[in-house]
Amino acid sequence: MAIDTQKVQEISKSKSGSRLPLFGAAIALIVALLLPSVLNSANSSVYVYTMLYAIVAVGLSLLIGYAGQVSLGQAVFVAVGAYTAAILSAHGVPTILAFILAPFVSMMVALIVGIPLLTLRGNYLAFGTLALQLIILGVVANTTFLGGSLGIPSIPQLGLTSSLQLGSAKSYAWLSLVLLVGVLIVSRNLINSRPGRGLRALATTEIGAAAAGVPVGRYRLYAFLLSAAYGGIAGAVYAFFTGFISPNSFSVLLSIEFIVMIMVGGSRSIWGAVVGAFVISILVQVLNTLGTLHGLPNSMPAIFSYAAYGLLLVVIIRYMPDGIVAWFGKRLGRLTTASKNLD
Amino acid sequence: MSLTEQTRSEILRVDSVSKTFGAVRALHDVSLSVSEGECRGIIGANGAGKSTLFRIIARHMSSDSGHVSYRGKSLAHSPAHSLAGMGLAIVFQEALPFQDMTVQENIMVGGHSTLRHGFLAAMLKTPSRRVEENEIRTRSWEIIDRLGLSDIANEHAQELPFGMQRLVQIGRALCGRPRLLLLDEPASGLRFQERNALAEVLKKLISEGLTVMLVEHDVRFVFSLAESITVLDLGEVIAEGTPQEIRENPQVIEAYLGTAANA
Repeated sequence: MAIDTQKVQEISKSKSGSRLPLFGAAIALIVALLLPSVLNSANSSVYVYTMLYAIVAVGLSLLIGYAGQVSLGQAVFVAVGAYTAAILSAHGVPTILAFILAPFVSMMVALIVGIPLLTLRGNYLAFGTLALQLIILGVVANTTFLGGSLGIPSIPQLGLTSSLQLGSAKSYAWLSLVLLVGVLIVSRNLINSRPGRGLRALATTEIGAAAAGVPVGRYRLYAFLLSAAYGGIAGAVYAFFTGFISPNSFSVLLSIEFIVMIMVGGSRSIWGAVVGAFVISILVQVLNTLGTLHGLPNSMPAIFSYAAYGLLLVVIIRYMPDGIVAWFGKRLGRLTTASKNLD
Repeated sequence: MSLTEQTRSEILRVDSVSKTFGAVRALHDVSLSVSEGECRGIIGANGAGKSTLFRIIARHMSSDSGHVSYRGKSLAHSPAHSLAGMGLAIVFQEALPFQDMTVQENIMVGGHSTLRHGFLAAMLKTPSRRVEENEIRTRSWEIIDRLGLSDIANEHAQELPFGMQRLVQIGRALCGRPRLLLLDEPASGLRFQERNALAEVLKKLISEGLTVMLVEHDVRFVFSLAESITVLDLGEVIAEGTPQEIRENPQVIEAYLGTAANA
């Protein structure tokens, strides 16, 4: 079969089109790499949390934006990862091993709930995961072995090797950046390949995807497991970094924050998840500062958060239904075509 | 029965399939056989049971009785997604192009069952993934080229005109290297020129030996393509034969063609 190879090459070339997004990502990466060395320790914590948020959000965007399933209890997988890391290292398991096992335990929990929930259609996974989070937090709060409602204190620092222990906030900042970049690369590889195309297809039409040969149920389950694993990774780093976890660390509000992140950034892009995580973690800081002003009741930060997320969601859905990244992408696209036309 | 059917081997067989929805008898004792290499048209008025039959063959609905077999093997226990891998490609009437995916990516999805690499290999970019991705990319380009979609290969498929979207769906089906292409109302909603373009594409595919089964409301479209036609009316097969035979069948004229001609 004769193909016009020249034409093919031309089109392949034009596909890469604007190098701007790649350029932007490179700048962001350089800034992210340099940032930990100039941040003070409080700001380094914010940096670590932002990176960990982003890791969870990328997983959730694979689930929501690509596999078309919603999890309202994504924080539970963060919790499972954190508790796995904490309990195992408290019982003498090398921290690096506990760290590696954490995402697998999160995946196992996801597998147990995912098999029955994903065979059902509609929003069962959303409600099921929310229920799962409430149940697991309840069980943890009442189990002495798991630290009860007081939580687990003095979790050791993560030791990558016997001699290389992570101690400073700076080292966790770099670790979490490396993990986020790894998660992004791996997710991007997935999206641009056979299984990734299958996932994207089934998010539009399950019947169409099945007709093309995509095993819809199994793929949804795999996406769910993957999102749980990303949650587990973030949870484990969180446990080692803060040294203390309790059921309160993984509230339903946290799960909602993850949803807001990918709605804000745009659920159909892993970059959207990163931008969303960045925006929300800054917002959380602002709200915490406001909510803990002198004379305000203790519940104020939570009240502020719910109000702010509600408002933010309304604004985003009204003005940027595809999220910030797509919104800017569209405007940038228009700008570049306009400038091309001027030439 | 046309002569050709007896000499070619059978690829699809529907054996006394019946289906009722509550009090409505959608299909009653429907049997038909499609031979390798033929283009079969299934026609009938609205409510004749065409779509029900299509859905049952495509494994999106199960029949109350009777069975469907493909290349001698019953499809009773084959999930819908396994058909593509067996060489049975299905294009639903209501199938939307996959959102936020280019024409090329849409077509590449159709090759899903001809590739092996799964989640882990994809994430880690193993050598087998690279080989397979290159292969599917090349194959999708061949199809894009054949269907004349080169200029829009990188457009988002959902933004294209309807006729183009239909071609993309056909391209997606072809990417799975099918033996039998099952089309549900391929001409519906298309403009005159789009319909002709689609007919040309299908004619070429049929002449290259692809077996095609068209479930179609548009009689003229079917007559221009099919070498044999099955007519459904109120859930039953009322006639089967060459387009010429069908045109002259008094029962068909009474039940269907007469009204279609007046419409």
